Amino acid sequence: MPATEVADIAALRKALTKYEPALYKEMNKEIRVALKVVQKSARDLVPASLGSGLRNFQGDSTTSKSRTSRKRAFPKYNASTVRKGILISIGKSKRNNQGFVGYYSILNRSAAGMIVELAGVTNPGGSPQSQSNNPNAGAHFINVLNHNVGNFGKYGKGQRSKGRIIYKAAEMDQGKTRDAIIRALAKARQTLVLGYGKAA
Amino acid sequence: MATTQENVRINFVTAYDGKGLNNAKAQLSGFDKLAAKAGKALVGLFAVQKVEQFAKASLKAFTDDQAAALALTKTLTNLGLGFESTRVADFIQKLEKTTGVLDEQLRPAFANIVRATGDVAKSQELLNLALDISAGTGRDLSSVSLALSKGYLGQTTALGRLGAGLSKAELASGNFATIQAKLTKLFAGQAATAADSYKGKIAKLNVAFDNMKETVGKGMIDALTTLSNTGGSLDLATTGMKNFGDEIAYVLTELSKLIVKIEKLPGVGQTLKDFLSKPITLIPVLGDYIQLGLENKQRKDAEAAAQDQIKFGNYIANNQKIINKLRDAAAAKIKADNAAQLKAERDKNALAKASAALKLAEKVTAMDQIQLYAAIAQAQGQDLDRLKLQQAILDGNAASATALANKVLQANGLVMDLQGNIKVDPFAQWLISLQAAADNLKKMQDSLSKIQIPTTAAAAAAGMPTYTPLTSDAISTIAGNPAYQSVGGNALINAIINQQATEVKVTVDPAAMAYGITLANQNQSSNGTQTTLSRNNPGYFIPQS
Repeated sequence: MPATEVADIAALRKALTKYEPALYKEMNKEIRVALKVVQKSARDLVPASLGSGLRNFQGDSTTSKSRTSRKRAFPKYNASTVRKGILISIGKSKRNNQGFVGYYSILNRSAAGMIVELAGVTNPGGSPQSQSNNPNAGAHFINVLNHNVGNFGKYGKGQRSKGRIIYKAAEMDQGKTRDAIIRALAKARQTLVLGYGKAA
Repeated sequence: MATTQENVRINFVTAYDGKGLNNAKAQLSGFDKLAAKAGKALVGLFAVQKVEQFAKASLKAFTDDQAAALALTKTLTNLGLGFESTRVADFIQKLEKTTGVLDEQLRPAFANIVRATGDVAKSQELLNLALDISAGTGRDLSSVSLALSKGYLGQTTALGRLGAGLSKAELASGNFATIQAKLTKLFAGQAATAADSYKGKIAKLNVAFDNMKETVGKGMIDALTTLSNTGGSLDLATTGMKNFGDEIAYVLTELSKLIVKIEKLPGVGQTLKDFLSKPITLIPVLGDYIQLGLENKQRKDAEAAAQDQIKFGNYIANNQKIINKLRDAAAAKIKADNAAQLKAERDKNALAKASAALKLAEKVTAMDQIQLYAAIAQAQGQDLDRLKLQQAILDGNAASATALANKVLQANGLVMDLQGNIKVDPFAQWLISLQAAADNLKKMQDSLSKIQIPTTAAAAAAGMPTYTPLTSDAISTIAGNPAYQSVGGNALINAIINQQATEVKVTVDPAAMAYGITLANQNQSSNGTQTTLSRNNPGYFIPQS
């Protein structure tokens, strides 16, 4: 279920902003409503607790240290923070290395949320570069997440288009949100074109 | 479907950004040029005539670098900072890598500054600032560092010439701390930005290439020294290096000739070209698979992209009815919106027009007021009332205006009915007539008052009969006349004489009275016949004696 390419979306958004700001707002409102469905679904997937076995990740008794960053400690899991970090965006993303820009997105922005989302995507058995004294720490961490949060959902192409929260929510949505967005875009485009007396 | 460490993000809609492509093209173009240059350089490097030059350039780079390093070390030693040499060398090396500025430039710049400050930490700070200013203004690092070192010592003229945005007052103050703070604020991050740019990256490549030359130069010297068994003498090693270059040149010349010959051989030339275009295919067995895999991947990517486009096209086509409905609804909405907007614009225009008219009217009213005051001062009568009425209207004084309006209307024989219609006063003519009658009566009275009763003498003079009043003798005579006395004349005469009210009794002859009544009856009847009266009591008409 990949993202749909809408070739003229940048031009459409630009034209709407310039000539029909009210219509643009209305369209964004519709899209927001559609995106909020996935957002809610994703937030519902965030468990209140990750169960036992990840004392350092979700407990308050210890101070986490990062082996890779001196400025920032390894984040603690907090369901409320993770839920708050699941956001929707109607703006555009940065261009990827293939020149594509994404629009109308759902984001998982909290540090702990990202970890829960992606841990094990690349290395399901834990990273071979792990610096932990326990060689099975990575695998254990991933297993606990799989058990308490759920397995990966897939949305889009490629090996890395997998995740436990927003990807799972998007997969469960079965393209309804995407269709609603396309419908809102098509509707706005038609209205805009008609408004200026041109053929559709 | 970008998943980075900074953002886990799912995009529901994507679009290809041509801007990125253009940038990429520009970058690729730049890279091509660089590659071409690098290729040329490499070709040149391995070309026979360039080998000696490269060797010399490498040696020169190494020796220059070493000389500059030694000069800086000496400077530090002279300043009593010799123990900081290693730290400074590391700093210069790191700075070279991060900014893409060659150590050949950094070392003299650092030396300039450290000579002025005498402090390594401060010099590092100022060198960073100099790099920022150099990147921001485009001036060379040497002049900027010199200006900063002079500025540190209180000579701010050179700083002013940098065009770095320092005011005369700031320069004249000579307060280097203030100047440094201002420059830091103005040029913060310029060097880092420049280093991140394409030009900066090229500069970094240049640095790397330069360092490579230096390393090669050092290696060559070491190698030649070792090979020539000079025991570390560079003078003797130079001869060995020259010989080494000549040998290499000879080998490469012969190699190029060999390649030309090979290309001319049937079959072999094509293989060489294939090697240049598809080197992977030349890997035995595995190369074909890899090449096939690469081609399959490219084909699949193209098909997937096309499929997405088709899906979107089909989606639009399948929902044409919905779109048509939406179109109709949108058209109706647009029409309604346009009408509403048009009406709003009209109202707005009308309001603006009214507002403008009111503003104009205010000015006119002010002029009218002035003129009215002037006119009222000179007017009188009806004109005054009319002018006062105008003033009352302008002032908005309704009561006064109503009263004055009625007054003016009345003066003109007009009235206003309850509906506010003005018409001729139906009673106005009556008043006029009455007034005219009164005027005429007054005139008559005046005329009569002017008439004089003529005196006896005047009447006699005018030939008119005269009235002679009774004399007392005549009256006495009349009073003594029994004839007058028998009819009561005496009393009458007395009354006349005395001008007193006196009861007078008149005795009438009954026969004469009867005759008179009969005559009157006859005259009053229509046929001239006397009316007969039946008398029940004949004694009723018997007159008293």
